[in-house]
Amino acid sequence: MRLGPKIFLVSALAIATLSLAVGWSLHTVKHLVSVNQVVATRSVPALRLQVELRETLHGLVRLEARALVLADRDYAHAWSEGADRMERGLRALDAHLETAEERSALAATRAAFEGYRTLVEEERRLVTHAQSGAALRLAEGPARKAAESMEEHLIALTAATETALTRSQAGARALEAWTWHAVAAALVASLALALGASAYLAFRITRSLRRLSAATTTLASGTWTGPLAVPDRDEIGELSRSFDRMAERLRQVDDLKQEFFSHVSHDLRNPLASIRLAAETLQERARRVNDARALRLTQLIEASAARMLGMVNQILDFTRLRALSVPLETRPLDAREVVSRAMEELRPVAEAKRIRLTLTAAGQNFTVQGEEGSLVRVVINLLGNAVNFTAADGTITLKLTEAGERVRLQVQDTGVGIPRDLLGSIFEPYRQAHGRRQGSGLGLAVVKGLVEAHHGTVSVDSTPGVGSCFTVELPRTRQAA
Amino acid sequence: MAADSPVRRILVVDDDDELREVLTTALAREGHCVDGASDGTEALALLERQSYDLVLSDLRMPGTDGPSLYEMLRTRHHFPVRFATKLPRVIFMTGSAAEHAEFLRGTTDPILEKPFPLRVVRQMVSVLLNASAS
Repeated sequence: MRLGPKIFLVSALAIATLSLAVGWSLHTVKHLVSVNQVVATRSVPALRLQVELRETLHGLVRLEARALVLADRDYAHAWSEGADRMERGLRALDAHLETAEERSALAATRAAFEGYRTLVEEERRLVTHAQSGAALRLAEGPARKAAESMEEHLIALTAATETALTRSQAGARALEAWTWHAVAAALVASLALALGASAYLAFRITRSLRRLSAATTTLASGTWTGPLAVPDRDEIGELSRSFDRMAERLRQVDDLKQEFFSHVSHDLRNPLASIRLAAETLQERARRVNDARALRLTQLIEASAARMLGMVNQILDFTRLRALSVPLETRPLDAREVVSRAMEELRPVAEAKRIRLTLTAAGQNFTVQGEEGSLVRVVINLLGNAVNFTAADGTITLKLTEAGERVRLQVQDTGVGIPRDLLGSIFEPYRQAHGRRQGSGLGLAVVKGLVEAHHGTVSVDSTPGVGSCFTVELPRTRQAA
Repeated sequence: MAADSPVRRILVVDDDDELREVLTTALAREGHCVDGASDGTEALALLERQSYDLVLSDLRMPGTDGPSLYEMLRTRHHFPVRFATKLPRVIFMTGSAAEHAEFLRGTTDPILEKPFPLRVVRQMVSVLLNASAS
């Protein structure tokens, strides 16, 4: 899955969980409101009505006694009105009741009231027929009992209503508590889910990026060994696969480059070897038969071949340095031996120009960490330049000095010198102080590259017309790459 | 030189025709009997037919290259016991010593890095031939 949908999914999951929690709490609030509504619109009015009905019943009992004792028609009339009120009250109460207990208590109350009413009407009939004694007995006996029974049923009804009210309030409280718990749990769960998913996603992304970063560093330092092989289908996985392809391509290019150097080196040296050997053979023959012209021509062939070889070597060295394709194989070396080897190589050329080569060494220990071939090349290039730019009968002095943790080599000549404005750029490739001189224009660039590859430094000081002095400093110990 | 010392047989193995011819000519002028082979297989065929005092072999050649030729000589003729079996001495030639650094570290035989001057190859051949003669 791609990164965008992954992030969206995590957010959507958290939002969905939160929405569920909110929906549930709204539903519960609705339920709580309906419970409160029941309390407000049914239970409270029912209880009030029941209290009123009990008071009405007490009133009816009092009116019944007065109507009977005083034989007053007004009291009898008032009783009838109270009885009608009671009747209406009982009907109204029916609409406010909830439970079966309440309804059965109400039914019993009504039945008791009907009984009481029938008895009171019987009392009136007896009074009308001047049977006051019988009416009084009826009133104090069965009628009183019926009124008391009705009150008992009313009390039972109030108890049933209160029970129903208490029950629904307890239910509401339980629901409220449960809702709080559920909402809190949902909040915690969605928070944990969102945090967990985000952390996992962030961990995966940063881990992949860290691996890529480390891979880039190793690739840049040339120590890359294998593919990242990230199987993820998101953008980071794609980036890793692109990286792998790039690294593989670089490796192929590097292999090609190595092969190319090897081919060029081999293929150019073979014909040069033939030219050189053939020229030398011809030179010997010309010398034997005393053919001066042929001798000169074969010498020219040989010198040109030597020059061409020098250039090929310089170009290969320079390309190798540029590409950093071949790491240096360093070991502890005696700088005196390196300098002597280079001097031996160039001595015939110097002697031909009657230039005096001298080596002075101030100190005992000239051990440096280096690759022999490369360091010999450095000295040959510096010495070769010195020989080239020094007139006949000049002097070239090589001086080795111990300089603490480094070894210093100075190549001082009595040559033409380098113009001051060119001193800053003399180590750049293809930059020659004296254009008419022969060479690849890479000699000093190779010197600088090789010295720096050894973690050393090279500098130059020169006075035109007096001579130049090149100073190379090399560390004694192995330096971190 | 040729007059007061016995004729010595030298085999030049190189896939570069010009270089092989120049070397053969130059060494033949010294009075040696010189044969040429363009690769290791051809060289082995010649070595089977007759003995040589010295082999100059290029390292990089198509087919059987220098290191393979060296390996075959050593295993076939118990090469290290040179004096007992009268096996040829070897001079390796290469355009790039760095390329064959690993192989060259494992052998004590001399190496000529191309392009080498005539006096150097002549001197090396003479030293090795004298050594095997003594």
